[in-house]
Amino acid sequence: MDLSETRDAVGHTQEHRLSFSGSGGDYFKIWIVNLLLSLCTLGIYSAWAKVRRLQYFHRNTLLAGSGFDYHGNPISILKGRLLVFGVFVAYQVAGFSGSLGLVYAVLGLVFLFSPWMIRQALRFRAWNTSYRGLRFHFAGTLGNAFRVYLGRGLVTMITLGLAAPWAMQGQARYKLDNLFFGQSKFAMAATVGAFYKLFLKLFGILLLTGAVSAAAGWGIASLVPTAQSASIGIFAGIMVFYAVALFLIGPYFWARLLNLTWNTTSLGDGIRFVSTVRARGLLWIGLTNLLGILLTLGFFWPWAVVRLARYRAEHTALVSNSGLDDFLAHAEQDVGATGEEAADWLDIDLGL
Amino acid sequence: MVEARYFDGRSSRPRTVLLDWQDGLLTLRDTAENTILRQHLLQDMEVAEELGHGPRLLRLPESGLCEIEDRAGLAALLEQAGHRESMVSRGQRNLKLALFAAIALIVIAAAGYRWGVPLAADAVAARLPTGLAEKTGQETLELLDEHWLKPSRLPGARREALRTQFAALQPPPGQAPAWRLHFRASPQVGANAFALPGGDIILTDELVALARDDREIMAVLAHELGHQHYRHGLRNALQGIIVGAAVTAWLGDISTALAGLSSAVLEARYSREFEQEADIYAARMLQHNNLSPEWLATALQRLEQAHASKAEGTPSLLSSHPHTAERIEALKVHR
Repeated sequence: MDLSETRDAVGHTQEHRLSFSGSGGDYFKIWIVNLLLSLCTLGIYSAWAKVRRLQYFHRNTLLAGSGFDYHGNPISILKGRLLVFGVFVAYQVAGFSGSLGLVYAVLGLVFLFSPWMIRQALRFRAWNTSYRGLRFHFAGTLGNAFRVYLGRGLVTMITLGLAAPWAMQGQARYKLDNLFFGQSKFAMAATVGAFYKLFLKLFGILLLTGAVSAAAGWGIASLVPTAQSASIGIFAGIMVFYAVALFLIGPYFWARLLNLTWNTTSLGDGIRFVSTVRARGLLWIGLTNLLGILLTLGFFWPWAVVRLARYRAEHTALVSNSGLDDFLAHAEQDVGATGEEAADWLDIDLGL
Repeated sequence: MVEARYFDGRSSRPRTVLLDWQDGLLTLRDTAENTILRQHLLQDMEVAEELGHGPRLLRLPESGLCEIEDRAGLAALLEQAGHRESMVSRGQRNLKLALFAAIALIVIAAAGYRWGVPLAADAVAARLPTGLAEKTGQETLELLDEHWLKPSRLPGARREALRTQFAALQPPPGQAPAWRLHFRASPQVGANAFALPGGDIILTDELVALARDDREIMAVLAHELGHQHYRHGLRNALQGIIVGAAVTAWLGDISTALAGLSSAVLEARYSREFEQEADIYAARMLQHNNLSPEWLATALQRLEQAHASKAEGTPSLLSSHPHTAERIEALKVHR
């Protein structure tokens, strides 16, 4: 059915909506069996479980009839986890030794290496994702990773967050402008200005929330006529602020960020993305998921992640004027991904 | 014959093919041109395991991929070819096994909480060098001195008398931990005594003032010595680390506040057990010195009355101490 559909569509603009074919019940079975195996092997099996989880979500995300696929090697994931565990142990040992210098040395090293780790994770994830037998790949340089993560991150810290939108734009751009599907390149066109606009709106909402929380705290304080009414009021105000920030601002920011990023992203010559994620949709899923997890002591988790994956897939589409049949493989793929260059950066996964 | 979409690994253009099993080889036949595209041995291909309801995948050697919607057809073809699915692949589609795994997980978690964590914390606490515990205790005391505690205002002679009186008491045979007694004043904390890792015991002026008989103070100190003997401070910290890590792994992705609250509830139970252990130790120590365990009961009652005006009864699930009435009841056994 999809064959005729795409063939007919050549030359016409056509929208391909993503869909998700997984279900909470199916994923629960996979999740619980793999969780038990991970527990029984003291966490070693969790690398295999991670591959299964990603395969489940990739293969059930469908575009024009075809699913995505994931090819990560569990051993590479295990190596990455061992490395991270080693760093964690080093940090703990430094803490126990009582030498503050040693603690800062470990933290400094982690900070210095973080761009390398992020780039490694992006490369691993991209290369191990495929669609219709063609692999994605990530070509971001180490220099640019240092520039956008360490450089822009430091400027954000020095300016007390004023540069955060600029840093975030640079990082989003680094992730997408260096991503390829086969030979076709992704490109994101959202400007620094657009990110500042988003942050300004967020800041306005935060101010409003602050005012509302303060009023709520003051109101509650005046209702409790004891000596501690002031501290009760402050506590109530903080709780209101925290709840609103967590449940309303989080989904709002996430939805707007997804839409801003994807609605300005294109692939190759003729494909652009349409993201229609809504804050209220994410809020509803988030609240009901939290309730489900609370009522089941955590066992609702598989349903929760499936619901979110379905919502995200169903609110993302590709608009193409030449169908999806004309992508070509990246040259490296012909040698079966065993090129030396491939080998040295593919053997470790740092995506946590 | 099973219909499939074939991708050659060079482009994203699908071709409709028919899959068939011929002379021990999986054969891809192009439906449009009726030609054989590829033939492979089963062991050269990768049969991606069934996960959810997306198309099934056959990954061909070198490159190439078949997407199959006809699940029943593919299953029959694979059976004909003698394909064996791994145990985990089959298991994760089995509802009975999933329910068994869920129950097993709950049993492991409950057993780990009840026995595993205390055993592990005990074993680690016993192996940690005493210097480390002492250092932790001293650092904690420095922190407390900075924020909560003030120097004691008791006369030096009174402090020395209490110290001598407690030193004269014999701990239960073979259970004599090292201890150092510190006097502090604290209007914020009120009448209290507590044991820090490594042997430090802190006694507040407010507790000394509250007691009507020095033997009540001795009973409280004996209770704190019990905490020292069983290394409760260190074990409590270690149990907190383990429970905190486990709860964060389980719930941390959803809400850190929820994870924090859950670990607090879980740790409170351990803490109540430690209080009971220390009570029993104190009762034995008092008896060993021909004193009645009643002195501890009296002290506990007085402490409860002193703190009752501050906080109305915490629900037992959240409380770090057992209810005083229960503790006094338990002490009766030792009379």
